[in-house]
Amino acid sequence: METVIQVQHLKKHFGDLQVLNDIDFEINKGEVVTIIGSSGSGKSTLLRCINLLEIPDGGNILYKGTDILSGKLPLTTYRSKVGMVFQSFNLFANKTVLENCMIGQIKVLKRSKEEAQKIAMQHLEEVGMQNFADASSTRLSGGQKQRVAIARALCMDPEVLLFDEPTSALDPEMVGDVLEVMQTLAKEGLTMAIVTHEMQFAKDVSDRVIFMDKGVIAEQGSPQKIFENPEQDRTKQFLSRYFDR
Amino acid sequence: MSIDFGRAYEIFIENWSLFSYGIQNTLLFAIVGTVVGLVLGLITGALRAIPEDPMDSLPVKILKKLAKWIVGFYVWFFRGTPMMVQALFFFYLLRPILGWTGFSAGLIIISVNTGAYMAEIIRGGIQSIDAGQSEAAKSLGMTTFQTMVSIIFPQAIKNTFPTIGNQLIVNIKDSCMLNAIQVTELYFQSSSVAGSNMKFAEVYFLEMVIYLALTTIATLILNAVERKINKTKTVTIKENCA
Ligand SMILES: Nc1ncnc2c1ncn2[C@@H]1O[C@H](COP(=O)(O)OP(=O)(O)OP(=O)(O)O)[C@@H](O)[C@H]1O
Ligand SMILES: [Mg+2]
Repeated sequence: METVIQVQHLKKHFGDLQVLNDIDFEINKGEVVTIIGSSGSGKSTLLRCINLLEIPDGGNILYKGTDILSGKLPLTTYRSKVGMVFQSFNLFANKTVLENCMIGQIKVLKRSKEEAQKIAMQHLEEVGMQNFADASSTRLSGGQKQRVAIARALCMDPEVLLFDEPTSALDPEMVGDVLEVMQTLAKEGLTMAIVTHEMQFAKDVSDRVIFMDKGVIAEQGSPQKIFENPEQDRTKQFLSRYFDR
Repeated sequence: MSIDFGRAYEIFIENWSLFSYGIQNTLLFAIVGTVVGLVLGLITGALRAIPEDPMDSLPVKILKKLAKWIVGFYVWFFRGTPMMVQALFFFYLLRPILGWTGFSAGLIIISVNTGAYMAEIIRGGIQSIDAGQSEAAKSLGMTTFQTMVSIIFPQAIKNTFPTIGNQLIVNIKDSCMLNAIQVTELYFQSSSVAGSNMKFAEVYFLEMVIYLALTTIATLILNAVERKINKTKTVTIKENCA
């Protein structure tokens, strides 16, 4: 199996706080990896390091075998291959839904306007937002914004998509729409790493679950193992807050 | 102590060509100063607002520091001294080298002066934009430059438009200081009219009315533009078939 992202001995601190401490894991092609753990355990920081929105203090991140910190792979090329979906959507407020989905294709992938538009419409359709193409991005509901954000990321033909709590800022009735889109993407074989507090969803879609605690990977494995047979006490403790058992 | 309005009107008609030349120049200096100043402000304001990117190499880091320092000095100097003194100083300082006229010196001085104010306006505008906007652009692979031009500047300009527009109003009035380097703007022209017919109160009354008319018209235009850019596109959204 081809490894898309390989994280080795990753370290990151903010001031005195060691947020990531010797993290090792990989994301393989076609795999859905979910990352769970309590607030402040470093999940967001891990995703942000993978996308180089934060710069690691130590360790390596390999993209298909190439060290992304070595300068051998241009940063912009790398980032276009690794998409990111944020908790707060971050749609470009000065652009319409369609323009949000086109700008990266035009500026980074150098696609023509016509081609970019065609691809954008395909992905908007995929997330059920094709009828909102000309709407101002600031006018949508949270769930609609997040689906557009997913379409925007898909337009770049990413090798892997990183999701940082994509449903945490949504009203409960919107969560389902977004999870449904993600579930479809998972079935289609898109490689994804998802930070989430939606345990049932994690259980359903994951190929592998990573439990983070205080900046380290405390435990990882298949969803069956993590959710039904966790080895570590802290995993059990964490899960008991979500599942009454 | 009274103003002879009838006489003022006559003076206005008799000297219309002088006044109209002055009005043209005042508008020219105000508009060029504001537009070029905005461009300068976008560049310098962006240099000041750009956060340090941890991915920068050491030379880039040093350059950014240096640029911030230079822009800081620029803003400090041009906001901290009167434009009239700036105009006189730079006009005479650089005349031997550039051989420039008061007219071209004036255009440059008002632009550079406005740029210092715009730098602060734009910096504030950029810093008020959520960091998520540029993070999203970065995550698509866009460069800092592309992000600034396509995402950050349009939002910063929109958010600060009333303050930017205010600079045009200020410049319509403050361009009068350029009379010191012989720019034949409205104040300069009015003063020569007043000097030739000795009706000072009448002429300066006329001048004030003209300035008021210019600033009022400019305000109305700016308000219309502001309404236009604030009007988010309203589209009829077809039924959501999600
Ligand atoms: N830019 C920053 N500067 C300083 N401290 C930070 C920064 N970003 C994160 N931290 C700290 O690092 C720790 C880990 O943060 P992180 O956001 O990665 O946690 P998380 O697992 O995503 O939590 P949550 O579930 O609340 O999103 C927290 O204590 C946080 O306060
Ligand atoms: Mg987080």
